[in-house]
Amino acid sequence: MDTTTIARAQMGLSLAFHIVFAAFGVGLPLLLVLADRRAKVTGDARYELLARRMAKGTAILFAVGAVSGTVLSLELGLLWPELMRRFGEVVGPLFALEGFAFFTEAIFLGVYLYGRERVSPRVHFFSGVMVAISGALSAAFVTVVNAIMNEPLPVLWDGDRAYLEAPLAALLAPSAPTQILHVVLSCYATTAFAMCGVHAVLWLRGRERDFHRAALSLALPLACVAGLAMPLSGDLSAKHVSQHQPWKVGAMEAHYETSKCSPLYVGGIPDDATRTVHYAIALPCGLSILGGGSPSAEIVGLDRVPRGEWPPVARTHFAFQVMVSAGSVLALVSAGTLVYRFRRKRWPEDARYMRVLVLCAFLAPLAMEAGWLVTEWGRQPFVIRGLLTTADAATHAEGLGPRMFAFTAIYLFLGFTVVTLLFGLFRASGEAPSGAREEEAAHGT
Amino acid sequence: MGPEHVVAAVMLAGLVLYVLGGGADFGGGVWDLLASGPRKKAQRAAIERAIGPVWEANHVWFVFVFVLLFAAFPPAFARVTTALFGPLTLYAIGLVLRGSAFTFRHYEEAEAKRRRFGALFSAASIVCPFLLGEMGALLVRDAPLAADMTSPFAIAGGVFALALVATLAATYLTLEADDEALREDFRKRALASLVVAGVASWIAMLAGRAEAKGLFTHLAGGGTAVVASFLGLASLLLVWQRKYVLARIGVALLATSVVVGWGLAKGELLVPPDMTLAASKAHPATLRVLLVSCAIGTLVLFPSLWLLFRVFAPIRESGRAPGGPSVRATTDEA
Repeated sequence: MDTTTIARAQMGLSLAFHIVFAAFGVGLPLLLVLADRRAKVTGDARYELLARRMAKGTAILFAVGAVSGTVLSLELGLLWPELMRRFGEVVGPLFALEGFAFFTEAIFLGVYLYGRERVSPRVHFFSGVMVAISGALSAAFVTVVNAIMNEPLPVLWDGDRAYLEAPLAALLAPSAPTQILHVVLSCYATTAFAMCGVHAVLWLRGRERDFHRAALSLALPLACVAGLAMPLSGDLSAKHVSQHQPWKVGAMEAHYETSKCSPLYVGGIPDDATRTVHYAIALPCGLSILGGGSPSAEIVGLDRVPRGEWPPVARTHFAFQVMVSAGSVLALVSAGTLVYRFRRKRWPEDARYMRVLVLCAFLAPLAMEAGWLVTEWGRQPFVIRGLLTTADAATHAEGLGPRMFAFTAIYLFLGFTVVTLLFGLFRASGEAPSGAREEEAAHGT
Repeated sequence: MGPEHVVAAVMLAGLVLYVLGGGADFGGGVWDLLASGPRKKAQRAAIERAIGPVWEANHVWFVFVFVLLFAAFPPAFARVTTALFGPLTLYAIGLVLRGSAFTFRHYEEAEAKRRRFGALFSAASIVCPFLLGEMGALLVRDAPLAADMTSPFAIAGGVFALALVATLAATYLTLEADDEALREDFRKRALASLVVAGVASWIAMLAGRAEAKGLFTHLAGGGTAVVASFLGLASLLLVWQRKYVLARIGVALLATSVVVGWGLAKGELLVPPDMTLAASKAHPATLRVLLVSCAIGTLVLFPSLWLLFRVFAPIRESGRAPGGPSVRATTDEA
């Protein structure tokens, strides 16, 4: 393997790993704040117990998210020195803003997690709100960087270094609004569905059902709203991409030929050589309707993109199909759940439904990872679309291979440990007859 | 003086805060590894209690400085990450293992696993400041920047940094300890690490005569050596006299003087041998935006940090540190 491939593999591995933790870092604080709020409003002790239990999991997930995020900031320089040298000025201020948001998040998370017994409930609640806001902001700033990479703003050049006349104009990157919405919602959906899955498993075990019912009644509304909003925001994104990023829509939809009444391919194996899609279900004019708003809308295809600048079509199309399928299941479950809730005035609660929730807990992060792959693969072979190729940005350092193994081993170790620890916490939560255990633990910290 | 100098000063201030906070957290890991005697467990508990709520915030100073470097001086950033590829990769690994192992230990209940996470946490806490010291030394050598990790000057710089963070941690911990015997443990450790830091600094200066001539003929370099020596001796005396509050200020000033002196001695030369602030700076508009963001960010940041450190300041008036009883219960076991 050449160094660019290894650098991409290492960056990809680091991001794939970090994204899950980052999403929890955005979603869990919101759920914690909701739990605290509901505990206060209803006076129901189950919600306070829930917040205490969730706080421990949050501490673990956030710590791993924080350190894996730091590795990413280092890897930007280590693996992509030319990207940073040439575009550091363009993306730098965004990372600086993200840095401040992350700083605020870390500070208030410290107060929130360790300060329950030390600050007034009001300051405690305020800290939780600050964590939730700064977490979402930090996700938004990072997403703007991605938006610039996908669809750069007009930049000025000083030799081979790019800069912006008004550096904060970076915040107005054309695809930023749709991407931010999609990313932040996906963080909420992933976190809320994961939480539903955990409590569904514990509910199925049959212990403390009353507690898990409370937990589900807290997480389900967020999961369902985000689950339903995801396809809508995805549609906005798709419309934007169809109009402005033909290479990406071409790759994700395997759309080779520019045409009016472009078909939408469901499934299938794209074949670049013949520019056809095998074994797909083609919905006539589907892509024109989705991307252009009318059956006669013209959708530009890969034929208008120079052959050397095509993203890898098969992979991108596959990842896109995975994302859409998983997202559709989540949206259906969300819709069904909400209908049930409004008809029966309570959340569904039977073993079959709980099993569906467990499935959703896997589908939500799967959709998120697949969506991230679509955006990354769909930009190739460029790191900054049209301006800097991934190969030109990559390092020429020796010995990347062994490092790659080291990072893989570390991420496996971290992933495994986090899962083990979380299972330990869940088991403990099933065993504790009352809040005694948590009380004790809270005073121990 | 242009905006690039202001950004450089902000970065240096960030680095000072990273050393004072994050450095002390690494130092905590050092003393976790070297915990010994009848109060072994109590020492570790005090360290864990002190680091727990604040390490993630302290750690962000590193990200802060790093991000400013690449936003404000992109070519210098690319040069540094290329030249120091090896040590920076190791540093990244160290940071990951330190933070996660620390958190894992906190939530792990099985004693054997707790011990293993503890070992990982403290090993990483030793590697990181050592690497930071080495990289700091490599950045002020006369030679072009390269990952010359076995140069005597770099090694002395690493040992000095390690001793410095251990000093910071031990001195801070004298104020966190909730009983007299424990405080004495940390006092002895503070004295020992101050002596090691002093010896390492002398070795570094000797090695520096060959490798970093520019540094010690420079007024700032020479001046720093004098000021830091004075502050080191003053801190030693204050710790010896058990004036812990003053001693904490003394060691913090000591660390500050070292970092600021390092920065002043670097002067315009960001990356040796020839990459200056002026040659690698971003465009004025970008620098201005960075400075304005920093100013606005600071308005949120400093009150928040104040809250964090106030909430978790050792509660001394009541005579009982947080979680005191559970810590006492674990003493005298080893």
